[in-house]
Amino acid sequence: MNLWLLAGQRFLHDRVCVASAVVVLGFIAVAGASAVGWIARDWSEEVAVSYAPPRFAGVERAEERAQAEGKAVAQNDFGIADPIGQELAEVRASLSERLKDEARSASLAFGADKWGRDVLKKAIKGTETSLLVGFAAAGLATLLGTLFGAFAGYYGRWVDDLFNWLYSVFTSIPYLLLVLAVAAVLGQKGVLTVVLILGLTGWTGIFRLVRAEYLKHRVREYVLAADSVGASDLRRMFAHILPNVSHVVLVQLSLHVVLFIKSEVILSFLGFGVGVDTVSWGSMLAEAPSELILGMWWQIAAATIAMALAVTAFGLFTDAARDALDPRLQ
Amino acid sequence: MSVLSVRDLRVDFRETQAVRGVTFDVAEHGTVALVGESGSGKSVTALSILGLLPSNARLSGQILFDGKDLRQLSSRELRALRGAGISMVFQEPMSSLNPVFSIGFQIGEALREHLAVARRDLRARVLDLLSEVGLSDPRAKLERYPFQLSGGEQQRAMIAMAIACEPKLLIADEPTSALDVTVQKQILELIAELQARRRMAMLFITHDLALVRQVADRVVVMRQGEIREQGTVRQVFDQPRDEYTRMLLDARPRIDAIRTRQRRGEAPVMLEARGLSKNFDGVAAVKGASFRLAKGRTLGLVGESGSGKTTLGLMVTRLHEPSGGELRFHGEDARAMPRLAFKRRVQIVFQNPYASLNPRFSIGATLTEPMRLHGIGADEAERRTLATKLLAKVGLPASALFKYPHEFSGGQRQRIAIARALTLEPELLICDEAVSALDVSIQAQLLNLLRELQEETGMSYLFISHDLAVVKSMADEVMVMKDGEVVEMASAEKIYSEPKHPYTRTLLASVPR
Amino acid sequence: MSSYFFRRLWQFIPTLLGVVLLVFFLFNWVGGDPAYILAGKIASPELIENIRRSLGVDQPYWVQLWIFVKQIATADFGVSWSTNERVSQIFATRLGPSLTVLVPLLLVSTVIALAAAMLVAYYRGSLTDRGIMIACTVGQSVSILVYILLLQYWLAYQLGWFPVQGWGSTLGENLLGYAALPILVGVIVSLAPDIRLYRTFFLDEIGQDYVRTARAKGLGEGRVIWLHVLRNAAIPITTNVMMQIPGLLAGAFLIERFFSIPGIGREVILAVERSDFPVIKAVTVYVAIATMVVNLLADLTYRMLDPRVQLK
Repeated sequence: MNLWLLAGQRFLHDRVCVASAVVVLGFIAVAGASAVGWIARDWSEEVAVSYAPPRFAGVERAEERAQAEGKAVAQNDFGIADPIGQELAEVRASLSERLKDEARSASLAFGADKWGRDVLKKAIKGTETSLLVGFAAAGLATLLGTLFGAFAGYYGRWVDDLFNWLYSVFTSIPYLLLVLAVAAVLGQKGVLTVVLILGLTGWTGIFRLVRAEYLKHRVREYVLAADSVGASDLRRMFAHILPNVSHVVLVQLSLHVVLFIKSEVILSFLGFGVGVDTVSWGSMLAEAPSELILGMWWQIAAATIAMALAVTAFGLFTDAARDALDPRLQ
Repeated sequence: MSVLSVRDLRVDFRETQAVRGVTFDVAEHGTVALVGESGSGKSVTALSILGLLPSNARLSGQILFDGKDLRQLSSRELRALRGAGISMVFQEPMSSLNPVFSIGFQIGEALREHLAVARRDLRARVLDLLSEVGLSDPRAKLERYPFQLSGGEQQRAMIAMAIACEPKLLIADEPTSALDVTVQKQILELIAELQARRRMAMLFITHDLALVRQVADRVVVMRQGEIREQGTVRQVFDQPRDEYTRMLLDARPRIDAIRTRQRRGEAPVMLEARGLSKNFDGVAAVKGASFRLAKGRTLGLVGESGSGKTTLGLMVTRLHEPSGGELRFHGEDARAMPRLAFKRRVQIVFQNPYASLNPRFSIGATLTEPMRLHGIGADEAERRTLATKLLAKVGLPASALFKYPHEFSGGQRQRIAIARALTLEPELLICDEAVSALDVSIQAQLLNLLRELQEETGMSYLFISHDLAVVKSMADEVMVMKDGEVVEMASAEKIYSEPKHPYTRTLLASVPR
Repeated sequence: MSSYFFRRLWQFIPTLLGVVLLVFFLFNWVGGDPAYILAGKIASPELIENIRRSLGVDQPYWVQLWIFVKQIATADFGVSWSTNERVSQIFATRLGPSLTVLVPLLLVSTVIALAAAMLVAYYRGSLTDRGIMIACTVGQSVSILVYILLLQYWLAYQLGWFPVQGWGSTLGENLLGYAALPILVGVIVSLAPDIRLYRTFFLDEIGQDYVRTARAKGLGEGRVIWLHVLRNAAIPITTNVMMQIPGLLAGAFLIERFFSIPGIGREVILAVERSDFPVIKAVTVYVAIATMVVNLLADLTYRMLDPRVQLK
């Protein structure tokens, strides 16, 4: 029974781990559904009055139904008063025994922002953005960091010196400063840009760890044994050592997903992140200062709760995965 | 009059019972040896006396010291006893000493804690202790940090720390296992001397039966948490009653055993080395080693740590490229041979069974990899059949193919490593401390296996070890190395009966009998 | 020791060169033509050409690089594209406020995090340990933006305990008044990651053999933890604290921006918003140099604290 199955077993025993894994999967599911357009596709529709307050609990599902019906009406209605629309809606409402909202809702599940857009939907769309950026950038950074670290740690000498030089150059500039500098230069916004910015600057932590692991493993006896039966350098690096390092890499990947989600939020907040064609938790937070002064707290709440849930679940999941995969605990 | 009485001690950790009802006594000035292989519970027993086990340990039973039950003491009373009434010396002196404080400071700490020695007298007292344990130039050593001392010196410092407050009982947990055999002898003599002079009782824990004979009056043999036999050393060694004890006694290779293996006739020379040397960053690890090895014979390579024996072995496999000299196989220059072809001739088995198999590869993958790289076997199925045959040769079932290294014990892993070495049917097998990390009983099994394989395949062995008794039982010829040089080389009989070089003589004299 | 020091200084050069190249590559090549940015939306070709010439971007790349290197050597980066203030002047005046926030922040957060981490490492596995660790995980999952926004709104705006933003003219006025809330926010944000890291360091040490020996000698738990363990853990902790400094310098920019503290961080954000390349380039290079210096100091401190390294 190999390491992954063992780790899986250990993982499943801990309730906190399983709970966090479920939450993480939930978020991924939401992001995926949003990406293919099953939900929150119409997040930018201005369906409510400006700063509509939220309605909570119990009313949720019925709310969605009402939402759907209200939408059908609102499609044709951009805030221009339609006398018959109101009557029609009331008729429908009385039929379904619901208190109907106007063509523009007086309140939504989680309230609305300044332009009447549904905060809940924005939060969902923001999930898609953040997770997409987080995973893509983490994937890129992990790929770079692992490759660089493998070559530097395994070959040593001038190869190591070269990568170490690159590493010290990139780490001489504090991370956020580097990110901002690159953002300033790239000018154009968008998800791809953000992914590139974060991925191309964030490989350093992974590099250092992978390099240390390779330094440690390349003198281990199983690698020497592989050499003695005739395995080539590349084979030793990737077929032999990499599987033994993969647990470190995966934990780093997970940690960087969190780091990049947080970085993307800051970038979008400052206006350097995703464009206006899409929404991010960061752009939601950007609207918060003016809202707070007016006493409107739901957008910041939605963004914060969504982000906190996602990041906490990810963090707990990473800790649990790290413990489960730790070879020393076998 | 017993200074220590252990009554029905049981120690449980969450899933395992480490100690299951152990009862023994240590007399007031006597020495009791606690003997067992790994997993026997001997160390756990020792640690439980001073209450040094981790917090998830559950204990029951009595531990009586001078009449008082140690388990009933308050933590303050127990602390007063530690280091003063009962002291302990551990196995790894390097990690057991605090790396950022000088040894003078650490020894002085014990004196201040228990004897409230005034600061101005402290230095003198510590210097006295340092000389008593035989450290040269005590004034200089006082200020030194642990990493600046050799293994033997570190252990002396630890002993000084342990005897500083004149304990009645000294517990020594494998105090010499991490040391070279010549140093080991010195430390054991030191401990014996101190014990006699200060009239301490001692509980000596070890896995090495030969040491027991040298050091103890009484011996307690443990296995898997239980006591199998106890009695005076003479009783247990000469007339063992328990089957396990008998097995342990028989399994040790004896330095004074007579070699029964006869070698008939002359065999052709298979490997010849001339002036092999290796430098690392200007330091010469091996200086001009020359030797010859005949087909089907075993050349033993003996030396302590730092002698260069492992480096020499790695040079023969070309895992290290020699800095100088030449290596010839059947007259052909080894360096001229293509890499893969060479690897089919020479294979190696390493020391650490826990590190020499890739933990992420199934056994089948480990065994079929060399075949795939060298084009042995037409397809995967054929390779797997070959692998199964190899496993059978080393005594493992075919089901092992689908398992992973962590599911096997140390001895079994070494068998797998041997099987892997055999996949390419080499002419020469290098055994680099291949059995040193194994328990004595397992060691014997593996040595037997190696001998059988040699008979069957006609392989030659280069058998590297620090253990003289083991080498004697395996080798036809023996090479002794010190500081990178071959100081003596002769047939096995000659080396052990008439050693010529002074170092060889010291080495042989240090072996406990 | 001194030979090591000089050897390390010597190693600065390739790294600094690399930073210079990276910054140059980013701003002069990838950054595209700044002339359009500065000229505004409607500009004639001549205007753009003029701007180009005055900025020197019409020269071939290697000339531009040489100019840049000269600028670094003389510490004169010209003037800001947006405010026309001399870049060196910007630095001189902004450094003070930044430090007024950062130094107390570093001190307070380190002390609190250390104490908490030691507590948690000692009682490992207990309810306190798990509780604090979970609180840290949750605390870290909330963006720094939220902390700033909420605390500013609640403590300053609503309750009026602190000024909402701004900066004063004397050190005392700043420390007690304007810097207090920013420092508080900074401490809260950095506690969680610090506690987790220091806890790891302590746990690593507590599990070592020498701790068992110390107990076997009969030393009290207090002495074992506060002397034996702490002295060993101090090594990675000190170097870690020192290496945080450059990151703090830049990381505080969010705090500076929200609280309108005229520090370097705030300048950076403004510069990025306005594509003010000279300022960004200068800050990047200076911070890089500062980072290298601090890393060297951290390394030297490490060697001083760890006898194993010192005497080799």
